[in-house]
Amino acid sequence: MNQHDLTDDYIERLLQGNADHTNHVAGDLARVVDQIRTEYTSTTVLPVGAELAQFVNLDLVFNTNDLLAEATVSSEFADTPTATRHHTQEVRASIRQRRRKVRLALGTFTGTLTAKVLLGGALALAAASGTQALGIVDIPLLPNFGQQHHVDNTPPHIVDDPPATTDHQPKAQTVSDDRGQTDTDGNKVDTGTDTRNSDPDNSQTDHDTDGTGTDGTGADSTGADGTGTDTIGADGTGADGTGADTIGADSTGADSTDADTVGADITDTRDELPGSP
Amino acid sequence: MRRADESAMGDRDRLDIEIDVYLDAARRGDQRGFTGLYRVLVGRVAGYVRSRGVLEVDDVVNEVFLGVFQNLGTFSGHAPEFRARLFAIAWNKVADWHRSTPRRPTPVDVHTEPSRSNPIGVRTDEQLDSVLADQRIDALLATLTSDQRDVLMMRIVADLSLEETAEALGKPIGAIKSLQHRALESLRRNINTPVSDDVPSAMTESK
Repeated sequence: MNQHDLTDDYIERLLQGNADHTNHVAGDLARVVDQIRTEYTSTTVLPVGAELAQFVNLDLVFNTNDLLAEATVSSEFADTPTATRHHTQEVRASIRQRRRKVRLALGTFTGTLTAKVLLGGALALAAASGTQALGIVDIPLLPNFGQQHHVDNTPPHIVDDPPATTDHQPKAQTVSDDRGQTDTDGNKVDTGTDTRNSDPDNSQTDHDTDGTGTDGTGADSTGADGTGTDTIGADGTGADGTGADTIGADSTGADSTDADTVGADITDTRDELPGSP
Repeated sequence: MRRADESAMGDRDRLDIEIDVYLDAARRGDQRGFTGLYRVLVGRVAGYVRSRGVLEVDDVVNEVFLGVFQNLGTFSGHAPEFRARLFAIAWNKVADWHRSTPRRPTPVDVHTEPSRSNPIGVRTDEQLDSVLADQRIDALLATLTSDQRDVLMMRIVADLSLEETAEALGKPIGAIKSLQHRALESLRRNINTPVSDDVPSAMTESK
């Protein structure tokens, strides 16, 4: 018998005491296994301790067949309550186990989904804010940090720069280039006034094209009609009829907010009024 | 051979039926059930405990049955599962005994050691042969590892099936197959090897 003869089938027979003893090598092994079984298998009933005596009474004489008969009667006429109870317990345990698994799966799924949504939303918000800050996109709902920063830096140049009102050429150029838009200082330019000023007949503002000051509107209210003594008409050429009067009484353009418009209107009027140099 | 298998299975089936009857009675609180279980299984449990080198066999066996009876309310299986549970507790109690007991060799004096059948130690030739055979068996088993001895004792002495042994020891069936195969190979190799007079102390080593 070689080493490969110890197959699973032979080992099972050997351990159950059913192996062949006639084989000259396997027979020895079978005899050793039988000796082990004989030596260690004892039929002696050991003494029972005090605690175990609550369960076991070796003096109790009974017939196993009586118990078997009782179990048989119980199974035939009482529908085996023990077996039924065991089956019910097994089914309930199985159901509990399945419920635990389903709860665990649902909890895992919900938790993962929530985490994904939260994380994705945070990333999207961060990305949108970043792109808007860089000026790549413009999202109205998000604060525009870049524009706020630009506005905060510009006002000192406007207020503290008086020559802007006296320097006509750049202002005039700015107005003529940006009709309907903001000028370089960020103030709204009344381009409609400029257009109307180009046509004296259609002018609704207080301007006097003929320089006589006969116009009964705005400029006359100052009492400077006809003589060119209009407070705004510092240039004395009838420019008092231009939109300068509509801007306000600040003849010197000291009003920083209107100064640009005043200058612009004056310039436009000079350019477009007939007879102006 | 098939007839032998059927006979073996018939014995095990009859034992299982008997255990099931006692188990049912014990669940109902019938003392006959507990007593019947003890009578049917105490020999196997005692044999396993003794084969694992435990000296206070009575105490350990009592603890094993007490443990399984006290927790019978939580047990819902039948005879095979009950046997597996019983020997799982036995395995634990043996391990506890080895942990709590200082390790010591158990020398065997072939000529003077008293036995259960001959308390005064006087030996006839036949008994002497038997003692020598037992010593040889002990020496052969001492060549096995602790796991191999556990598997062989549960298969041979406790008469557990492959599945019950796996359940009792908490190992996969494949591991049990491998362990029993190696154990038998080791025994077969050492059968014709001369056995020394001293019984190795491995018989009493803890798991």
